[in-house]
Formats: sequence, C-alpha cells, structure tokens
Amino acid sequence: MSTTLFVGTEKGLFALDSDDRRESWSLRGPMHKGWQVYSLRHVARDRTFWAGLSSRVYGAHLERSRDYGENWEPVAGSPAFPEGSPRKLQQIWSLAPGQAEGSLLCGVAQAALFASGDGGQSWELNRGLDTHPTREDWNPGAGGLCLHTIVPDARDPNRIYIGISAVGIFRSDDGGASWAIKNRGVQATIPDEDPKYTEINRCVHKFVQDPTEPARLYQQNHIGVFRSTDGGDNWERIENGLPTHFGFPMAMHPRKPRTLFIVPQESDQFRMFPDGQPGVYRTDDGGDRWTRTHNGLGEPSFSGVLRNSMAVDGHDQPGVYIGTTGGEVYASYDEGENWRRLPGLLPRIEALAAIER
Amino acid sequence: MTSIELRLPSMLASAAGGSTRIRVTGETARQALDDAFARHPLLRTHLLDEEGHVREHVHLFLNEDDIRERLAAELREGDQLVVLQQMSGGRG
Repeated sequence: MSTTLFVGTEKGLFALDSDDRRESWSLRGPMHKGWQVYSLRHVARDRTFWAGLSSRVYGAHLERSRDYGENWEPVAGSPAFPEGSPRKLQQIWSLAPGQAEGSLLCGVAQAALFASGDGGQSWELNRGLDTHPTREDWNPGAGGLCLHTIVPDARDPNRIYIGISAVGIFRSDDGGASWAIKNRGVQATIPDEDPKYTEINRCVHKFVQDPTEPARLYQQNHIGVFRSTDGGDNWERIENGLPTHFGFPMAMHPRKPRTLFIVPQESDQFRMFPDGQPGVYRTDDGGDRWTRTHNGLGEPSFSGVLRNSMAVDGHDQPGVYIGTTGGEVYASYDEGENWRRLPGLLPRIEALAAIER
Repeated sequence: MTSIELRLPSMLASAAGGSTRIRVTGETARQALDDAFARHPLLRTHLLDEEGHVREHVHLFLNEDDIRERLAAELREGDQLVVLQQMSGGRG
C-alpha cells in the first residue's frame, strides 16, 4: 500500500506519491497553479478528493478529483453567499464528510458553514449558525474570521462540532439546526469586560476528537492547549512538557487512543519554531505529558506549521506528515521518533492530506 | 445579438470549460458576461462579488477601454472583452 500526500500551498497544489514502502517519493504538480489551497479532504466512501481553492482576486471555489488528482472538475455549485449578502466568501478552510450518505460540510471565511446533501454538487448556508445570537460580535483572527475545523461526532449522528477563529468551539446536537458555544474553561485571547465577550473571543486554532472515546476532545488554542472529557462542555489546560503554548496544528493518531501530535511555536508575535528548534510534540496519555520529537527535522529552522498542515495516513504503522511555512515536507513512520524530508521545496504550505492507496 | 470573444486569464480556464477564449453574445458587456455566466456559473463567482459588482482587483477591458464601471457599454462585431488581474502590489 502506498500513500499520496497532497500538499496545498499559497500558489497551487502538489502531490507526493510514495512507493509501497514509503521509501521513495515523487512530486507531481503544480495543479491549480496560482490558487491558494487552504483545505484538502479525501471522502473515502465515494472515492472523491476535494480541494478548496481561493484567490485574493477571484474569490473561492471547490474542485473535485476522482483519480487522485490526475484530473479535476470545478464544482459549479460551490458554496457561495446569496447575492446581496453582507458576508464575503474569502477562503475555503475546511471540508468534512457528514454522517449521512452524500452529506458534506464546508467551512469558510467569513465564518460560515455550508452543507451539501448531494455529494457536493450543491451547497446551502447553515442558517442556524449564520443567525446565531452572537454572530454580529464575532471578530476575526490574523487569518480572517475562518471556520477552520469541522468534526462530525464519531458516534452520535446528530452531533457536530465546529471551530472558528477568533470565536471558539460550537456544538450542535440536532444535526446543525442550532449551535451552543463550548468555550467554558478557555480564556479569551484579549480579556474583555464587555459582557458580550464573556462566552466568545476564544481563538481556537485546531481541535480533534478521539474517535475511540468521543467525549474526549483536544484543542490547540491561541493561548494554550486544552482538553475536554465531556464533549466540550468544560476545558482544562494540558501543557506539561511544552516549550510554548502557541501553535496551530493538531492531529490524532488514527489507532492509538489518547495519542496525538502538536507543533508548538513561538508566540503570536513570531509564529515560528521556538529558538529555531523545530519539534513535533506527542502525548501518549491524552495530554498529561508532552514529549518533543525532532530527529531528522532540519535545524535550525525559523519556519512554522499552519493549522491544516499536519496529516496522518492509514497504514498499519501510520505516517505522520508536516508541511512548513518554508515549503518543506517531513514524514515520520514511527510516531515522530524519526523524521525524513520528502522531495521538493514548495511555496508556503497551507494544507496537507494523506491518502493510502 | 452581437457575438464577441471573451478572453480570460489562465487561472480561470478551468471555470470556463478549460479555455481562456470563449464566444459570448449580447448587446452590452453586461449581457455578454451574463451569457458567459449562464454557461459557466463559476465565472460569476470569480468575476463578481457578493453584491454583484466586478471584484475589486479584477479589470475588464472592452478592446482598450476599461469598462469595469461601465458594463452597459455597447458591443460591436469583432470586439474583445478582456479580463485582467490587477498587477499592483508586492506580496509574493
């Protein structure tokens, strides 16, 4: 079994194809030259691969491939705000298959969720979120007001989580009809006495669910790393062993419960590896303790890793992949103990997705 | 109806069936664009914003005239309607 690793960048999409042992890799691309690729998603059940493309000039749309990126079709009915809407569709940040057959979800900036019931041919704005009572008080982070993470619950078909910068995590227990804020225990990025900000202004950067224990969620936030053991109702800090609390990406090990990876970075001012020392930090106990892995990561490095730029594949010994803002891709097949650089020096990397084939 | 050529930047070719030159018809530039949008709906997304205006960094030339604020400009046989991306700025 080989892996294809799609690499979304600031200037187009690339693919790295491995041999069956993931020893040798070859680079394809650029595809969608000139487009920013912030979101990538493989939908295994219908063998489609999706890329969210955007441009500062031309707006955003979805492209779909059925042959691992050899051919692409633009989706004419891509998510769009209704004409006359005060919101602008600036980037496509997240894609996820919903629980129902044919259901796909898409998160965008300016923060909105779109849903498709026909496999992605057509999309509808989620009104429950768009009319949320706090909506007019949402403020953007440095990357815009982006709905960057969508997590359909691993067990409950009516439960969906989403994350928005710089607003926080929301949970729906009715299939997306209504949304409750789930930020208790997470502090505001900029403390504000204004009562309208007591629940929001929480800058989640990425979050994941442990599929083997769906009540356990983990989030990398602007101000720290947090864990919930009750479906997001309450959060607590888990930062033992970390050099900094700031970072973007977070990925679950696909098989081992309570094992996940993050990439700490130096403060929101600098957004790079601390002191030029890159590290992917792993916990094996649900965040009680983090351990740095770095063997094989080029040092010193003053790049960083963005929120969608870490991926895992589905091999028995899973590959973990990171793509840096300096355009380098690294892979590890032993949970981070050793890293190797994959071919190519690419534009700033915005997204990764790994498919085993 | 007047038939003219609409020329697109290569980044928009996939939204127009893979071509950077398509034939469109209309009496005005707006009608010619609407003809293109009817056959290639994503072109509308990429050329117009949510309020229906030409996107801020998109330029639209009828032959050598900038008509982004004058979409009612009348067309004549042989005209070219050209979409250009604003090329200012220094961000990589």
